[in-house]
Amino acid sequence: MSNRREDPDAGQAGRDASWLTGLLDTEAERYSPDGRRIRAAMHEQVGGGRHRAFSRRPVWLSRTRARIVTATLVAAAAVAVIATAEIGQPPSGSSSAAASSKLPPTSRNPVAGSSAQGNGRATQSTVSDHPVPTSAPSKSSSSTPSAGAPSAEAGAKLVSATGTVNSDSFDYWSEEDVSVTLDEPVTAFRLTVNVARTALVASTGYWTTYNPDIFDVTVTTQANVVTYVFTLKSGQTLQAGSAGFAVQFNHGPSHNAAADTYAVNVTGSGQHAAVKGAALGAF
Amino acid sequence: MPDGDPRIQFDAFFDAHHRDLARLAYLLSGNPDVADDLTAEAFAEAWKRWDQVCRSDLPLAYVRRIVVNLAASRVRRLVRERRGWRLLGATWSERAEGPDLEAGADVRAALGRLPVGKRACVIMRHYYGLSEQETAATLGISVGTVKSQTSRGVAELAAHLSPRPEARQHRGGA
Repeated sequence: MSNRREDPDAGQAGRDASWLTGLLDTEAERYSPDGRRIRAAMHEQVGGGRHRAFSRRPVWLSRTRARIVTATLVAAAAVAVIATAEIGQPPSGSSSAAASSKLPPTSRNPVAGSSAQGNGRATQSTVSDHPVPTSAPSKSSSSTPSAGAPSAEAGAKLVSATGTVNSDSFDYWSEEDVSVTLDEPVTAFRLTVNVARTALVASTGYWTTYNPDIFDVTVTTQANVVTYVFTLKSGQTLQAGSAGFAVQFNHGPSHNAAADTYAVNVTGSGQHAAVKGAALGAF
Repeated sequence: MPDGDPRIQFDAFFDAHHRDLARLAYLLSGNPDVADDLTAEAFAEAWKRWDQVCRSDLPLAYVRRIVVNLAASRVRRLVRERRGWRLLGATWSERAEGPDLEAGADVRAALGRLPVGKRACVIMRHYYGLSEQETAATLGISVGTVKSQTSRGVAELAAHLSPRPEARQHRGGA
């Protein structure tokens, strides 16, 4: 702590004040902000007043409720989650592996054009703050070779997937995450997420932990469903491993994730495999 | 904000920055509970004028300024009302909050002796590492003011803290 300040004049201020930075850092670290409490207090102030309606109850209450709802529906989900494998087209893409596709699955890259642009910081933070979908998905929806699969495929499993409702979701907005595990490199990959278009459902974005540049993504809104499709671009290869995808959307309080579904179709090692899941329990 | 629900953007902003802003509130107030409250109040203010926040070049700086202004007005209000409960002034006293916080009591006490403006300048410059220009923009004051307030603030802190760095349990009168 060398802080003899012989000349504390303007301009010199703090040039040699690293001792102070250390003290302030240490002091700030003594305090752990209680995000839930802050959020609840904020909602109290906003919700009770004349300001724009935010939400009728603190978000954390909504989340709690959402978890309970989710939990109660897990049993149903166990029934609803379907795991199938199909024998499909032969591998369409060649195996010209693109090195760029091999990105660490933990890096979270917003897909180009996703989410709201107006506030870059906020958009970025959405991406960086939401928990990564579990990288160790349960096997409840893993694919197994179905009847009709070539015998050579017996026991092989190309892909498994798990859908979950992200815990940041609340009454008016949700993120649904699909964690995908590839057991082998694949040269064709398509993830489709169908969100039932209940009242007020509208996409607000999507992202993936893969390099977003190697996917074509479409969001299609139809009468009864909003469909997100992530398609691996031709010539790209996804290496074995786990990765996450997420779709985000506004909705009314009545939206029930039970009606949301996902499906993954992959081709690798000359096989085609697919897994599907009902969202709930899962989503 | 061409598209996207403002509330979603706001939520994302909250998630990304509430820790940063809460720590600012803490350094300004010296009290964890007050910091939580100030932060909540600042976010409520930010939501009220979210359009402006989004339009500003630096949304985070905008909300940091809200925090500083709220902390300053809180000090004024508390001084005026002379209530003893969780006053910013009171928290700057030797009152220890607990083992963790006790350790930094001298730092908080020294910070607490600074007027809020100086305190904010010092925090912006030496905690966040902002430039003088950035600090001026964040606080809505001139660069000259930032320079003078910061240098005086640092000097005063040094006077409070530095003469006895190895004897921090003794609180310093300058």
